[in-house]
Amino acid sequence: MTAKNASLAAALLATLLGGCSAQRGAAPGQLAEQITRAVYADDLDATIANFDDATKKTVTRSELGELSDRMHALGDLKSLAPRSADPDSGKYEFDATFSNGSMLVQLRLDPSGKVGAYRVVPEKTAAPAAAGAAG
Amino acid sequence: MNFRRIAAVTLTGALALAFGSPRPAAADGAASTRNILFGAAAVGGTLLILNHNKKVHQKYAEYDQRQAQTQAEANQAEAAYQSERRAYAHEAALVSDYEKEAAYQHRQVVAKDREIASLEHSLVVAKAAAARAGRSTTFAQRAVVRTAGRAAQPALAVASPELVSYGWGTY
Repeated sequence: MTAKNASLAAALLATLLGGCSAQRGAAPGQLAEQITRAVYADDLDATIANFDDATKKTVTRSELGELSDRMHALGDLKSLAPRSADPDSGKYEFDATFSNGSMLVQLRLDPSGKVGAYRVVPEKTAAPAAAGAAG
Repeated sequence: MNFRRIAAVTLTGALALAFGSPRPAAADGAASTRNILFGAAAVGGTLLILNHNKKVHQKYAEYDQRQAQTQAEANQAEAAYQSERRAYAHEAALVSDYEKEAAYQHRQVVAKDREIASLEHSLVVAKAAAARAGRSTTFAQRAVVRTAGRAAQPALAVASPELVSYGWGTY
């Protein structure tokens, strides 16, 4: 009887935790990496999959292609590491490391968990160092 | 007044006849009857005069009352007129203020209309330029970079003039 109760409690806890996780949506780090890889691959559908409706409407294929070209100019996408996070405002920054440079990836999440802004900032100072390391 | 004078003369005459010429009391019945008649006439005349005076006073009182009422009505009408005049003056001043306010608001609306028209024109130009460039107006913008602060302090967001960010939405 006690074991049955314990298993029921565990199942209930797991359900609650699962619900909370689903409400929050995917982790910011995972979202940033998924979107960055989609942009790098010039995949429009995957890029806007987690965007909110207003932001989705602003994305055009030409802009996506331009951003993808800027990433490809830095070489292969290696990794994404968190730089700063402000959960209160839903703003997160990541360092995207490429084989020949890096970019700053900025992500802003709506309270609903959807992406309200995705921006990348090419870091000019990072490129020569990375290029020097590569050469 | 004439009636009053006639009544007074009549009464005086009656009294003179009754008491003015003293005569020895007659023991006969005719004299007694005559004396009684004279006395009754005197009393009747006195009552007549008193009643007349009473009516005259009543008439004067009514007249005075009417005069007072007329005067009061006239005064009231004058006061009412003055009040109406003051109210009209106030309303005229109010209308003047309203006219001034309406004119001011009209000028403001015209100025705002011009401003809106100017902004709309600027927006149309910006949209046309963006359409020619084949991109949205927010795709490329000045980067807002969050500087890494200490753990106890929140990171600061600063706009970097030399860096440009590319993407969608406002960070």
